[in-house]
Amino acid sequence: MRNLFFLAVVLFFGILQAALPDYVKFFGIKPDLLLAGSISASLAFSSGWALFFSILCGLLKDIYGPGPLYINTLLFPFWSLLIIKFSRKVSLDYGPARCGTAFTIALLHNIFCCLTLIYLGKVIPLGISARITLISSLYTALVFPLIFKFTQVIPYCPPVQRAVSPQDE
Amino acid sequence: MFKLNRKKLSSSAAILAVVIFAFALAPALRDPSLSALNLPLKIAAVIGHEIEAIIFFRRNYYQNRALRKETGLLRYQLNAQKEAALENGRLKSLLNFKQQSPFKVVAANVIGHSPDGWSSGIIIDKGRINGIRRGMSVINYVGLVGRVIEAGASSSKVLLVSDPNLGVSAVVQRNRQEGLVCGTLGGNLIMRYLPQDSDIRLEDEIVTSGFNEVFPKGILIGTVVNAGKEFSGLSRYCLIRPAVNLSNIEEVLVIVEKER
Repeated sequence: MRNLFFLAVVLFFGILQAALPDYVKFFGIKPDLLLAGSISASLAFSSGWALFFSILCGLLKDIYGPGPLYINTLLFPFWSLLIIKFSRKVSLDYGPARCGTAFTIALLHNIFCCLTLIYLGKVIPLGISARITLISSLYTALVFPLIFKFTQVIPYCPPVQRAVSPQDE
Repeated sequence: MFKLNRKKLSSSAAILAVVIFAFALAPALRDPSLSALNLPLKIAAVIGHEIEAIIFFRRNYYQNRALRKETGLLRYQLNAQKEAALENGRLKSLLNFKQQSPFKVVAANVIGHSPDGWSSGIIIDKGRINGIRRGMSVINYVGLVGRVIEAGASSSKVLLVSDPNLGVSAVVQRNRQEGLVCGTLGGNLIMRYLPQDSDIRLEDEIVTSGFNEVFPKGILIGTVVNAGKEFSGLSRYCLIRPAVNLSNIEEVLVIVEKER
């Protein structure tokens, strides 16, 4: 149920990402709702579902984007795996820690996208690339808590555990 | 230490296989997904416009009043232009000039924008069933907008002229100096490969050259706002302010048939 609800949320954010009105843009830049959705899934779901949602988010972003490269389909699951590994070492239950992780991942993603464009020989002024990288990452990190809330609308119910007798122990 | 047992290895291989499968499937999914998402995108665009109309009611009210005044003035000017055009037509036929047929265009509404800041594109609500094909030029009443890069059944994707992946062969209208106009992802475009001794002035108008047959000749791209020398010193460049406001474009015209 929780997974189905988040699936609907991801599809909704996919549409919203493409149809986001002009007045929510800050310096012409909008938040990456799909990346935030992918990070939320990595923090709130099991590894399998997190990967599924990451691939779906990446696919949706590539479908709407004009680029010929399907870079997001490859990168989103990678970031998802990175977060899953990281969350096993460090506790990310604290809100600001989650926002910090979202900012770092968004920053890494934007730097990677910028480097890909530079590698392909495109001319992007330093000021513009720095502006997109920093503002987009910050904006994504700021909207991340709102999207993360959607993973908690339906609380996680662990599967019913078998009663353990003292002999089994 | 990093240990790799059989379970870890098989799960990593499974993840890799899923990602590669999704990556391989992505191009095939693009067209049906775009068509399926056409209606929700249209609805989202309409809702977005309605919310904007409510939020910016006051601004819209005064803008409407100013525009009404401007429309009256423009209508008067248009009548005068019509007279001039009719006179021009008569004189042309007298001089036996070859009649040039205008572009055949398809009007389309913008229903979606590029999902991130690293690309500049739009999604329009017309596709193959409306005669739109990949590679067609997209314009506006003011000037050049971009080029169709993907045509779905009922929607298409347009790469805007502000995207660095789109290059347009262009000339300076005043002195016919040729160069290549590319996007910078910012507000301005850049015209590169201009000769070192080229005479570029501020407010010069840049139009499409028509040399590469992708874009029709003479479509306005923008005006020069700055000029300088390339880092190599071999050529010059100039920054162009696009004629079309690409950040909040709502309607476009796709040229489905060029002038003969």
